[in-house]
Amino acid sequence: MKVTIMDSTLNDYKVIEKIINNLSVKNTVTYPKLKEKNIAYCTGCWNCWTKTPGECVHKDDTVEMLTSVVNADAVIYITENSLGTMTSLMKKALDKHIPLVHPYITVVKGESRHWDRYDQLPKMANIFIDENKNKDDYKLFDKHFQRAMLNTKAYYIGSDMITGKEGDINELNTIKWFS
Amino acid sequence: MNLTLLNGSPRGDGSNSKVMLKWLIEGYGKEGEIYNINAVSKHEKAIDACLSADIIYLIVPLYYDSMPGQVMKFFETLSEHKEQLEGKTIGFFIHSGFPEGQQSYTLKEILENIAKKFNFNVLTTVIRGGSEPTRLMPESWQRKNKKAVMDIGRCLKEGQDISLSSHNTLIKPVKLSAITQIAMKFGASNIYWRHELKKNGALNKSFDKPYLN
Repeated sequence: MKVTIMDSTLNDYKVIEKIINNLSVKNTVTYPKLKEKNIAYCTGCWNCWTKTPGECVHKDDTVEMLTSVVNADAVIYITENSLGTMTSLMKKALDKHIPLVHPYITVVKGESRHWDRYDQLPKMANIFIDENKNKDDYKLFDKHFQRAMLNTKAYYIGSDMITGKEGDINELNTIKWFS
Repeated sequence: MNLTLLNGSPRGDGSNSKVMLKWLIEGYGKEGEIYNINAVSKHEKAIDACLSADIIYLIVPLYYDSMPGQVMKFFETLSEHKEQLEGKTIGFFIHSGFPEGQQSYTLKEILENIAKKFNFNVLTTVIRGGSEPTRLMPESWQRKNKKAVMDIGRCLKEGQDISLSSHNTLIKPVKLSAITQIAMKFGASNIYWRHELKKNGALNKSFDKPYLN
């Protein structure tokens, strides 16, 4: 399986290295570390919908990031708890996912949703790192993640909250899904 | 009362948020400076304005079911000054391109949760759907919405919470009506996008998948 690990953390965590090593045994893993990438913020220009369909106007590491998403079988987004939600790095990355859908709108379960651009987008999972394990923040974060996924109609693998310690690798249900 | 207005739109001066902030200032009745936070380079100035404010008011478009990344980055930097900000009042105005108000409920929760981390007092969060044509339509076509946004300005000036009538006017429709749903399934909301694609000579490649290997 081709797996992309979208590391959107602001700090370094040994457990992320462990996750990469663990998954690499049976899968081909790419792991863009967003804080080291040059990705411009979405400017809301809509060129990716109306001028160069599907393609972001930014020719920076956005290209590498989106290529690693659409060609993967699964993507795991990892973030810390930042003020009760995902980090700005993860949010910036999600904003740049907008070229992956079509501008046309339909109705799904009573709500407006965009049309698909890709026949199949990867399955998606998330890992939320919070040393205090704040359940309310985690619940809200995962709710947002699952709503964001409705846009891409991707299959939701699952979610985990960990403290970020190396030993947390044994607690991850998300990882078990891949073995 | 010292009011700081934040424009959370990535489009900055050319945004629907900016149009609505101007309406709000009209209702406020005084000159008010709007701080764009669409680039990290503008954050320091906006943070200084927040530090000297009694009330911070943010208008923000819904991006991927939350706030734009730039706005989150702004809050992360702002949190370095948490102690100086404690007890100030903050208000949020969320608007979405999608017509139904309920699309913005999750962002309302996220923003109010952030406010809690800062120990801000929070005003009633305002939600408005179907905002995309605001900057393109003549004002005379959107009198009702303008009046409701101006009233937010009045409330801020008088040190009150946002009026229920403004909140209730702007949030409608909360859900898509049965008729709207049928119209949308038949592509009523695609007319604009189709027109734009055609204008740019991109209609025949509108389903391109450029990142696929």
